[in-house]
Amino acid sequence: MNTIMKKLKNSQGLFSLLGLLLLVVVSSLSSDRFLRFDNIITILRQSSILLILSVGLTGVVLTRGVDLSISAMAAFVGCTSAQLLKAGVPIPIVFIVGIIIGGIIGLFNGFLVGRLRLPPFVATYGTMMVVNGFSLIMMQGAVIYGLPENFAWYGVGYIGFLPVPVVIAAAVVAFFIVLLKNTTFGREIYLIGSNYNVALYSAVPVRKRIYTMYAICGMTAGLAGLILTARLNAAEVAMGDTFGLQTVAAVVIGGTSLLGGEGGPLGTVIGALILTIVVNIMNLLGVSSYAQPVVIGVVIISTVYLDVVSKQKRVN
Amino acid sequence: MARSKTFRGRLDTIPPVFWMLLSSIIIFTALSPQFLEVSNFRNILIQAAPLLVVSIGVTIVLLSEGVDLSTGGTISLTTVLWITFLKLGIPMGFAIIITLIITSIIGGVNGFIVAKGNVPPFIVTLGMSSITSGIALVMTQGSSIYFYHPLFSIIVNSRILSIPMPIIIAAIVFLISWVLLYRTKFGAQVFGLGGNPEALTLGGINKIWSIMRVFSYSGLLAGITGLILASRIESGNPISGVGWEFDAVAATLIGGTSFNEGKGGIGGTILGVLLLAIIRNALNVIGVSSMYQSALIGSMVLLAIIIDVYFNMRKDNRVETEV
Repeated sequence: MNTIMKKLKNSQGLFSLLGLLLLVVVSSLSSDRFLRFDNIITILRQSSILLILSVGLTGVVLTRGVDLSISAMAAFVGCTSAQLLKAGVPIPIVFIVGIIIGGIIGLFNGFLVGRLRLPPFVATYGTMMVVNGFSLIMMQGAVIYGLPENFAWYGVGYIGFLPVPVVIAAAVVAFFIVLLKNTTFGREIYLIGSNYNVALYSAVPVRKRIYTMYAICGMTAGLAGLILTARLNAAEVAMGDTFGLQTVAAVVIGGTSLLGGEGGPLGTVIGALILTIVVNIMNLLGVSSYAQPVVIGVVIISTVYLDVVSKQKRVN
Repeated sequence: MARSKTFRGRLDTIPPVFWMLLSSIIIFTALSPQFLEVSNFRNILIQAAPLLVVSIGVTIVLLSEGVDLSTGGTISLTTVLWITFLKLGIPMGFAIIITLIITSIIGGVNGFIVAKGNVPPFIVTLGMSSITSGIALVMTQGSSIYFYHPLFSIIVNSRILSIPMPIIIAAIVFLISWVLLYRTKFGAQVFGLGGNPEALTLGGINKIWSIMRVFSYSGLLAGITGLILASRIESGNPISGVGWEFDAVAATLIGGTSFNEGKGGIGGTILGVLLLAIIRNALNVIGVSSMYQSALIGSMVLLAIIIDVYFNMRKDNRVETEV
């Protein structure tokens, strides 16, 4: 029984990977610029922020939750950090403050979901509105730009030939793989998602785990906001908007089930890459940027549909 | 629910939103004497009317244990579609009918995907919102499209018996929805879906079809809201519906409809819509910038949800074994 489950899990990851390979082949056939080294680096760089956001989200989705507020959080942290930098606060402190703010908002989400047992999408949708409102108040409609050059390095700089955001994203992914796959904490997260009651009766401190997972997700959202600000070298309220649905899409395309307990961070890497390549190839082919939300919408509905239906078939 | 005979018991049956409404009216009147003027109240009602229309649809979806976050995208698309049809020279009547059929179909597709695959409705409707607003953007290349027709001014400005037209439209929609919800099989199925979906299936009712109808009705009402909005702004604007999906869900939740067990109804939603409109209006009259408004309304909604859940928890007296 166990091996069958494992095989199914592997096959799901394989499915995403095959999708990615197919996409790469099709893309390189449809545009000769696609496989150039600089375009590949561009894709990796473009995917890095989405990846940081959605890897954090993966942990939450594994608990059978979802966090719709992470893009708003990223924008809020970005705006806050830009204000702090303008006020002359040193960069390391800005990073720490930004990540802590994300963690606190995440903890609040965790409280709404874990303690009050609100449906996660309701709770985090509400948080999203509140956080967006606070960003609006803080920025008063302004755009902050011209941040210190040392800070911009985190968005546009290189370590060797790799862009800094890519390195940071890789580190975050590695952290999540260890956290979710190789620790008791990770096992418990999977258990909560696949069977809440069993987790409860197995003496798993369910609430605490849910608090922690949402808080970690908030912290990665804060980190993503900082790097996004560094890359744009500017901050504004709407800076996170494009990531809204894409984060959920990346997680689901990567094979993590919205029904919880199945999938993992590696799949999300594939999911984020697939989404970024789709957007990249649309840009290379000159598809109007207005059409991109249509494609994202279709992709997300169809993947979620396939995921849920296939899972139900297996259960039956 | 049995009516309690004691005064205290009767007080408990009045939804919290009523007290919120009453206290906000008192507070805002104290803060600004202009607030209680008849013309201001008429303005509030006119502002609230289109929101009420879309919120009724969202309420019915919530009662059936679904959620519809696609209304904003549908409203944007409605304004764009309608104006585009009119620009193409399609007669007014046809343009309205085709537009409303399209929005109903959008809702129906939502419902079909939700019901057929048992897919979480929030993700389906969020995805649909992305699709519809994307289509609106593509159709207009991101800018507004303009057209003028005398009907716009009739919808926005005319009065029957000195009642402004938007209020009449909202009232008609409310009455029809009330009859549908409480006097027809459609309504019984809505409450059945919210309360006990298995019983519906056992009763030989096609669950997919009834969920599709619920979402389709929400799409239709979002379409009507879009028509009122387009008449007001006399244009088709691909981002005009942004945020409406949230206001509609907010009004519904503040109005006392809850996510579980099909509790609540469209009566409470009227109060929720009024409360939102009054707060927006009062903040404008007092001179609070729109930036603070969205934070305030967001916090209120969250608070309303939390209070609702908190009281449900206490009522249920659920004992959770937790380490």
